[in-house]
Amino acid sequence: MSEVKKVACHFCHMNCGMLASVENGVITKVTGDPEHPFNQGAQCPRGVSALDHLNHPNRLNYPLKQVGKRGSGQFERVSWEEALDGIAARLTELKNTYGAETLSSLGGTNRTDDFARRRFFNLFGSPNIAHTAPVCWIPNFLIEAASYGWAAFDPEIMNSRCVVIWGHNPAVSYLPEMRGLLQAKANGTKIIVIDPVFSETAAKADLWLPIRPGADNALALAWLNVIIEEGLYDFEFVNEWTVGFEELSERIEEYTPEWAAEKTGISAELIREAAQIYAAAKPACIQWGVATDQFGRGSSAGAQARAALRVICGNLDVPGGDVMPGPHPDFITDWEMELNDLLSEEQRAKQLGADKFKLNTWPGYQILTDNMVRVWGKSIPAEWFCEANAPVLFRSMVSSKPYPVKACIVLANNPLISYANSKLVYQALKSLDLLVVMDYWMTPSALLADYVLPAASWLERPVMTTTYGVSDWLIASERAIEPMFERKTDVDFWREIGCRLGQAEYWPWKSDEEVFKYRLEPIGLDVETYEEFVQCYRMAFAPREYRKYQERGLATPSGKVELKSSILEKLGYDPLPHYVEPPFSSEAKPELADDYPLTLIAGGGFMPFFHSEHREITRIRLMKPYPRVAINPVLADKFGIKATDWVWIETPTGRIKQKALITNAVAPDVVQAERGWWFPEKALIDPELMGAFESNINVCLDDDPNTCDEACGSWCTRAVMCRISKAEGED
Amino acid sequence: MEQKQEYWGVLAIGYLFLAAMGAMMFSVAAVSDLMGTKIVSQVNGWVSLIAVVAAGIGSLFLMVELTKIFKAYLVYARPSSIMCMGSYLLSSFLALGFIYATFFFDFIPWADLSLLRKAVAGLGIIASLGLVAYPGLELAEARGRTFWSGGGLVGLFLISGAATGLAGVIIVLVLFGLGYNQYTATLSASLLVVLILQFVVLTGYIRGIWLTGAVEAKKSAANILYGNYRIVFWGGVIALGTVIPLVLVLLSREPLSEVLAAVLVLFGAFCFRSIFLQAAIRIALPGEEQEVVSDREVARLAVMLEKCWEKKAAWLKK
Amino acid sequence: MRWGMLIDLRKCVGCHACTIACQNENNLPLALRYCKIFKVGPEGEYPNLTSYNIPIACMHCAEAPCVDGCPSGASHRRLDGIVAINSDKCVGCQFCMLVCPYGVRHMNKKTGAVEKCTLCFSRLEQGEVTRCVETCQLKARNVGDLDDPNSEIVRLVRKDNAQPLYAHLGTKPSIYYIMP
Ligand SMILES: Nc1nc2c(c(=O)[nH]1)N[C@H]1C(S)=C(S)[C@@H](COP(=O)(O)OP(=O)(O)OC[C@H]3O[C@@H](n4cnc5c(=O)[nH]c(N)nc54)[C@H](O)[C@@H]3O)O[C@H]1N2
Ligand SMILES: Nc1nc2c(c(=O)[nH]1)N[C@H]1C(S)=C(S)[C@@H](COP(=O)(O)OP(=O)(O)OC[C@H]3O[C@@H](n4cnc5c(=O)[nH]c(N)nc54)[C@H](O)[C@@H]3O)O[C@H]1N2
Ligand code: SF4
Ligand code: SF4
Ligand code: SF4
Ligand code: SF4
Ligand code: SF4
Ligand SMILES: [Mo]
Repeated sequence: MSEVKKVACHFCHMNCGMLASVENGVITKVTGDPEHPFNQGAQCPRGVSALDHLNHPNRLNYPLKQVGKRGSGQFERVSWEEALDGIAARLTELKNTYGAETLSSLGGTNRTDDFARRRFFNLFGSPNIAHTAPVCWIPNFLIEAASYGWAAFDPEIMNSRCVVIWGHNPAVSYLPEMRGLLQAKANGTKIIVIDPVFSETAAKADLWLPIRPGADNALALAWLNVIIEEGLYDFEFVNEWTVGFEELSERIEEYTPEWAAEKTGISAELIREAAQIYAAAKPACIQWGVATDQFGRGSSAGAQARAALRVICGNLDVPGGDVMPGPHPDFITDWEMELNDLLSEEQRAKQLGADKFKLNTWPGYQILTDNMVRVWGKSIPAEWFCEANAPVLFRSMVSSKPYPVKACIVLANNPLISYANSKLVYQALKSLDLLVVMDYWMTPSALLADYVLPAASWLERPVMTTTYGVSDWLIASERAIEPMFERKTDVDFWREIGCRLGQAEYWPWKSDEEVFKYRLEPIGLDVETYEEFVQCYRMAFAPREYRKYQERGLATPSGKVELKSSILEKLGYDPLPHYVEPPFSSEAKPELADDYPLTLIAGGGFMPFFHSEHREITRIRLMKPYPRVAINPVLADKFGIKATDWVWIETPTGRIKQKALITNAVAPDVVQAERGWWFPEKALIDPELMGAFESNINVCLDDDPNTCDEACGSWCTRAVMCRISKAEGED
Repeated sequence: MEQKQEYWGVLAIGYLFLAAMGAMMFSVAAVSDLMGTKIVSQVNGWVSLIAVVAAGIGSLFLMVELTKIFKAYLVYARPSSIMCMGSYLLSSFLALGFIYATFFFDFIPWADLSLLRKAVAGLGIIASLGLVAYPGLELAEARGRTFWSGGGLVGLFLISGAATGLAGVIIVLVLFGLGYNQYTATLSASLLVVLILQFVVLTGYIRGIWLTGAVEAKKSAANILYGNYRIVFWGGVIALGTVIPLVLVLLSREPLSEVLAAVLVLFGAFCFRSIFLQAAIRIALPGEEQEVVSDREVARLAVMLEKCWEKKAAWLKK
Repeated sequence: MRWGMLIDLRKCVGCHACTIACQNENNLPLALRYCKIFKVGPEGEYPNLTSYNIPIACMHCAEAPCVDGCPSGASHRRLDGIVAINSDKCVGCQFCMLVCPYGVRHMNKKTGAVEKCTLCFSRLEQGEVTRCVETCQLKARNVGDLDDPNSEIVRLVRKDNAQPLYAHLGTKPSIYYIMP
């Protein structure tokens, strides 16, 4: 019997629609779904390799239990019963000894159904879930939320006259988005790219601003200066819908283009010209990328400036501008699924890092939620937006301060590779009493675990896309086949472990489909099953409305856009945009400048990999077999480095090696190292851990909480003093 | 960008060399025969047999390089292709050369039919000249390898072929103890002329391309004159293969030095063909020179990775 | 009828999806690629730079040296303009590889035959687009009939003055590029 299933790729957040041909329970083909709005039938190299991923001989297929010393690689296959019973027993024990907060969880980017993780944790009583969220999207989102009650994360590029792509590289990160951008460009939309690297996206831009790494805040402030001083802003909108403009105007007086020129390396004239182009184009939008979340200290301050730019130029929630969706009114959102109310005040107060980083932890989240519920009726999920701070969490694991963190469930994350300060992460994971990892692969992190659990991937489970739970639409996709071998869906895992810990009444569903059906019910469609919804409707988009504030007001304490944010003020932060020097720059640490004369960009996605994943897929791997560090030819010459030579990259925190990619795309005093590298083909044993410390650039990054963003605890990956040398005799 | 031409390697070079040498040895012998040189009756049988065997071995080299030897007959399938024409020329040469040789052995019934022999000689000369010349046209088909374009190659192959033919025959003569006579003197004199010609034409050809050719042809020429191939070219082709034998032939008529000169000429011709075959790089595709992981490296990695996955799968199962 | 392709280099981001999709479609050995993507540049000096990506596979030349030179007749030009290889007939002499100016032919060691992009003729015959056209997220590729003046591809070729690569070599390729 053969049928075609409507599935969704989950190798990245685009969740491109795919069609899976299934014959007698075996998938024979996976192609792009031409009717899907995102990808329109296309697939990127990862999507194309779906079957290689599904059937790879190294996929985890059975639960494994470490029977030797942790990290020894001595695993034994156990049944799910045994694994889940064992984990539940240990968790109960640890909870009784140390309190619920001793259990933590680590997540990465949005690859799975995280409402289930949060639901489990709220019921268990621990506030200590961390994701890489602080360096991925969340500071920008939350600053916007504090300023105007949600994030305007849905720029309507197609109807825009000018798009500013800020620290973002959709030409590798989000190909379907890039298609839209190029279509807009063909229709005359002006594309401005702000990036220190001549990225794939910069190469297609009308105007590229080659900014010095980490200087984005200065640039944004200077733009504000130009636009306000020259009167290029939207008087009407500013008058009617904002508070704090006076204070803002005063504040930005000092941030002249001349002042910024020195910091950004862009001439004052060009800064001025670019600001004028942006301000004159109506409507225009700003599309920011995670580079702007990854400056450490000052990430939020930069976001404040950018949020103010949109607002004063009158682009907020207008057609062709920065559209602010708000939650979907009907279907049950991630936030509603999380049961945050069930976590007691007392436990909330224990959230690690909440005393320091207040915007993305309970103190700030509570205020944001109160405002959002007032206006939208719903809030943003606690997952991502209200989390323990990872650098603080890792330190607690090591030091047991302020209290012991003894257990961690790592799910859909490779913390040894993805978080900064890998050696500290290593120590932290090794300090635990119980480490559980659920993944597709035996990652370096999994190798350290007591239990390694096999996850079912997107062909083996249904996928419901809600973009971190904040979109006003959803796209539903079905599973193509039942999980192969003994793989399980993440939702099943949380439910089953939850049921063992007395949460059964909160997990009434027997399958992912039942959960999703439940979430869809309020839409009021007449469908018997989830699959029927997928086959007949597949998506639910809230009707697009603009300038929603006119009827609802804005979800801020004042009901207006707060250019001077009362929420930030209340939390003890500077309520106005301001300049903060990047924490690992020569400006901040002049004493290190002589030893570390170069600037390291430790990040930037690249094709065909997704972060640390897909290195086992041979066809994908062969496209980029080695880690590469981009070096300008002038710099390479200076060190006698030739293409493909191994190069040491060194900071005060650590050193690793990557192969030289000699290219003009970076300035002569900047190097850009690829992220996410480990070598699944290398030794499966601690401490080699499949080369987890050889080429992984996070070994070189510090995550000292004092260098992290004041409001959101983001660590710095994008402007770090470093030095390089040729790695002689390395193979 | 391609660093060197890698599809046709040492076997093809061997073929080109042996076929040219064989064919031109035959031509020398057959022309001498047609010109009525007496002495040839003593050696031509062996000369042409050796020529046929040499070209035959060369053609075996070609066969070995085919992936499907048992389907080798298909190289005759499309006469309009130059490769196919080459196959016909080669086969005819082998056949004619062999038949011609038979005329020199008394036990063969038709050994006396000298008119027939001359006719065969004439046809053989045509086939052998074709055999030496066609690779020049063949290589010129590679439009992306402009080092080979233009008719010049045919001339070069003929000249170098002639040198090897003369050298080959001289060696056979000396081996037969026929080192000192009018005939060898003529051959040596011809060799002298051919070598001078070879020197002039060869260096002229390469320099000409270096000065005026397309980008990749220039690069090929530069590689020969100053780059990777400079030692083989200046040392092998010019010094050992042309100038020294030239001097030797000029200064001495000792059999030993004649043989030495002839052997050096053969060596030089081999070097010449190997350089000419390898140096002709293809026009670079845009961005191709930026590729740092070679196809070969990719293939090696593919095998390595797959093996690792296999081992790891076993580890995961246990 | 003359099948051809148009590749818009203003759109291609060099993601390699087409390379891998093509490998899967044609069941190719891991290291064999019909379609390669080259990155050109960045050229110039930081920050005055230009750069683009160019996918390269068989150009389906109307005057194809590989076809002219093939002694066995394995390489041939079909009536629909596609240059194809009959692998049963291929003896592996590699002459075609030597003469192809675009370096797009590969010896498949498993089959002992030379291979290259087929322009997915069996897909085209079934009314589907080629696999590389299908998979391109940027919609940088187009396939169609170059002989049909009303076809989309001809319209696009005209509109943006698309050109074959290295037209001066005279092989009359059927693959056109819109230069960035
Ligand atoms: N230096 C530096 N560090 C960075 C960045 C940077 O730019 N520079 N980027 C940061 C950013 S933006 C992010 S989002 C993070 C990403 O960090 P991670 O999310 O840790 O990155 P991935 O490599 O995608 O790891 C995800 C792991 O989850 C597994 N997985 C995938 N899907 C599922 C699933 O559905 N279920 C389960 N159970 N497992 C799954 C994968 O196999 C993989 O091992 O890295 C951050 N780290
Ligand atoms: N292929 C691929 N796609 C991905 C991912 C992947 O790993 N691989 N990861 C996914 C995830 S989780 C995320 S969060 C997104 C992230 O995708 P993006 O938002 O595009 O972020 P990055 O690719 O990390 O970096 C974007 C750009 O920031 C530039 N940059 C570096 N330093 C600075 C700086 O100081 N200032 C400015 N203005 N720019 C700077 C880099 O050169 C790069 O071009 O991509 C997603 N898509
Ligand atoms: S990985 Fe590629 S195919 Fe899959 S959702 Fe992302 S862009 Fe689409
Ligand atoms: S799939 Fe499209 S964008 Fe990607 S490399 Fe191929 S042609 Fe370029
Ligand atoms: S590109 Fe090469 S293989 Fe393709 S038709 Fe032209 S000559 Fe033949
Ligand atoms: S290798 Fe095959 S296809 Fe190529 S020329 Fe020889 S016989 Fe023809
Ligand atoms: S047309 Fe088909 S065979 Fe040719 S490159 Fe595209 S996918 Fe590969
Ligand atoms: Mo991310």
